[in-house]
Amino acid sequence: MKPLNTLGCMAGMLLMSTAWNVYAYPGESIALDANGDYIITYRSSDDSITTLLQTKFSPATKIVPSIQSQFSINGESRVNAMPTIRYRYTLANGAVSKQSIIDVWLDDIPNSIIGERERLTGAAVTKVAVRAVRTANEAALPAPSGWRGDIIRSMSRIVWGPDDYARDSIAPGSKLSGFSLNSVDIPGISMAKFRGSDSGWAPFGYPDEGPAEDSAVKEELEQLRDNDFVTRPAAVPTIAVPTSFNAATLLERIQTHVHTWIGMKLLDPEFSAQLDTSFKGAIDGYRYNQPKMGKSHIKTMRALLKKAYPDLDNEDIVDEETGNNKGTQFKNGMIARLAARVLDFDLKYVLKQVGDE
Amino acid sequence: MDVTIRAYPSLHFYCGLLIVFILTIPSTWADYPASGLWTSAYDPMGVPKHEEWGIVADNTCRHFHPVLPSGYNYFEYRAASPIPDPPTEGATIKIECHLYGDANHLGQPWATTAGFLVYRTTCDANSRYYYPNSRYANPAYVNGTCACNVGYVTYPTAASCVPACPVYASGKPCVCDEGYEFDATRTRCIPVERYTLTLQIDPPAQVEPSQSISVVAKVVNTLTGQPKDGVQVNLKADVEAGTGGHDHDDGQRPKGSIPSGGITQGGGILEFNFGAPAVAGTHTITATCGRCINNPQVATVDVKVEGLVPISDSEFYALQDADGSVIGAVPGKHKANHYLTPEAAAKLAELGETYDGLSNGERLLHLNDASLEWGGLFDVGSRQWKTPHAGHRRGVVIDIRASTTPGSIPFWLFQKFETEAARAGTKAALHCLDSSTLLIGHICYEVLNMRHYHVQLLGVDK
Repeated sequence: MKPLNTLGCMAGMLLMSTAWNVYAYPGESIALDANGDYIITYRSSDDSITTLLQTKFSPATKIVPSIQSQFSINGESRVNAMPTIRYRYTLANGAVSKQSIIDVWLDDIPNSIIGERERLTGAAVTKVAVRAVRTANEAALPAPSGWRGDIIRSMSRIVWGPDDYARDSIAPGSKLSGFSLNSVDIPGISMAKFRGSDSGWAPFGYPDEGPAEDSAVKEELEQLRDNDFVTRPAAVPTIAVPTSFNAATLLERIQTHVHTWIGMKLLDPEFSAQLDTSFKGAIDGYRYNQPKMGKSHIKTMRALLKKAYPDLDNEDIVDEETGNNKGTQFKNGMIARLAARVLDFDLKYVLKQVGDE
Repeated sequence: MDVTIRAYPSLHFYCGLLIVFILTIPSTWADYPASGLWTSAYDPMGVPKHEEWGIVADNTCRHFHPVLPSGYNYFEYRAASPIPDPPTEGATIKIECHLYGDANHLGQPWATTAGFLVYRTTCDANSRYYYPNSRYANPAYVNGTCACNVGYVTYPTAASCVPACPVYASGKPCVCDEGYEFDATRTRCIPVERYTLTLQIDPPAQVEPSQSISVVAKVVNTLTGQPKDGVQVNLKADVEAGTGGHDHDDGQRPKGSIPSGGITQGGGILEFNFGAPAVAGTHTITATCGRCINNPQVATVDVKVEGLVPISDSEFYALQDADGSVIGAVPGKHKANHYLTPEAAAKLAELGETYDGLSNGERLLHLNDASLEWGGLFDVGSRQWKTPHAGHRRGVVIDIRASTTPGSIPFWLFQKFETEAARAGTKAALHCLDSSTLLIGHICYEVLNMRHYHVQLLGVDK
């Protein structure tokens, strides 16, 4: 999260704000203190309070997390004749972190994972039934001891967190594995979100009803709270496989998703253009019943990936971006290693489904 | 003093001429314009009536008729009364006309007739001189006077002649009859224009608090059916008590802002904005205009956040205390305080279920204020129509007890509750009421009774 520590930033916010008028009231400020906390001085929304008030916002971002994503076809399990894919994660907290990791979110998981039960609605919502759903969903999200998974389907989100923050959180310099899930959807990449905490945690709040609604301080503070996490790329089941398998359709979906990596700085646009040429050939090949042509173009793409990472098949190598505090940089100038692994996996999946792998 | 004019027409010719003249002289003879001359009130010889008379040097009066042809019998006029010098307005002299016949009667008047010459001056505009009493003059003016021309009258308040009342008017000064009015020249009374006024607001005549909506007042001529420009329309805004979820009322309740009035133009239209206050409710706009036969016209505007729904009952949260009272409701002020958007309500249900898991099924969220039925400013506490209840205006925020009151989220669950809230895309912040101290890092720890979680269910409060 990028610290915004002065009201100087607010001038820009004021210029950018179009939906609402905001005002930098005299004396208001947001300042970053030595502990990395924000001291907010604001004018109360209660106009009977004439003095400036203060509060403190301690961000949950004093962590340097990393996530190692592993994914493989689970040969034992099929759903509707489609193979399931097992996703496993190892989380780590950098030694320089000031907080322990207490919360991990995996977003952009649009479809139910294996074992997930739908959230109940209407008359079906009873305590007993809801708890049964919760238990089932926890079971669908294996986690290390002391941690528990949950599915926030309304957010297309899977979360893991410890029951006891003090005892089971991931301390600075520690690593924790054992998080997994299964899905029939093939991997894409989304930004996992991590939140930290320490023993000095205090609830955030105001000694009144908060800043005036049109206050620039409030706007800035809302942005801080909205982005109160650290992100890292992770492989998640985000690309749906057509129920009735169709290689051209799935390749189109893969290609569409791969394009999002440019914005995530996981893929160089020029390399993406190279891939696109082969994507088009592969899609056309399978669409027009020329599987050899399709296979040929997929092999071309895999060769490009292999060229970028000769050791791509070696899962023991930690993806460089996962341990990078910048989160989204890659070294070879073409594609991040995680992205290359994900795309290679997806292409192999297509070949396997069409019987060529 | 003699006034002699000689001419020589034949006697028979003049006798015939006199008869014809008497028979044909119009009654309007007295209406000829004044010029400050001696003029004939009664021409005994029937010479053309428009010919004027003049006073000549020998103090005779002479008719300046073209001289009769030579060889005819002659006639002469003589003044039969003194000629005033100088003459004054209305002065008269009597004249006699002596006709002289042929040789057999030479030197003897054959016939004598008499008439008058009157001195007249210039009259004011729209008036003319009336001669004194004579058989051709207006008998009303015995002594001769300036009087208003036909169609003009003098009023007590007017120094000169002014137009008389036109048709459909009477009185001094003229007043058009009922149902009529002067036209632009004020010389005619024409039927009074009547208008029909309408107020138009695009359906559903609804606007969100603090936003504005366009209103159109339109004036149409009832006779022609055509839009009428230039009509002053007067406007007034008001608000209906007991609306918008506010059961309280006083003279301070904010009303919508509109102009006090305006003039129709561009198709009989007066377009203006109704600026909604922050407080929801049913507002009225009353419009009137002169000559409008359907005054007043009233339009209503609902100031509300559309689509708020009451929070439904659930096993996972409580809307009432154990005694059955609605949490946060204030009888007589706001009795319904649990309204949300459907999306926010769904998120609340999710949060309630999660909290059930956090507390191992031992606790329920106790829900305080959400939004009023129509949203808008939620004026809690003793203050009327004002903050401080920040947020709570659009059905996306709810307060959840977090004090020492039964049903509150306990402090030991605060962090997990905030974490769960964040996971679900909501934002929870403690609010309390102790602005007397700075509470950095210890927010509301010592202020228990009013402490609550202010939860932005969709991550925003606007």
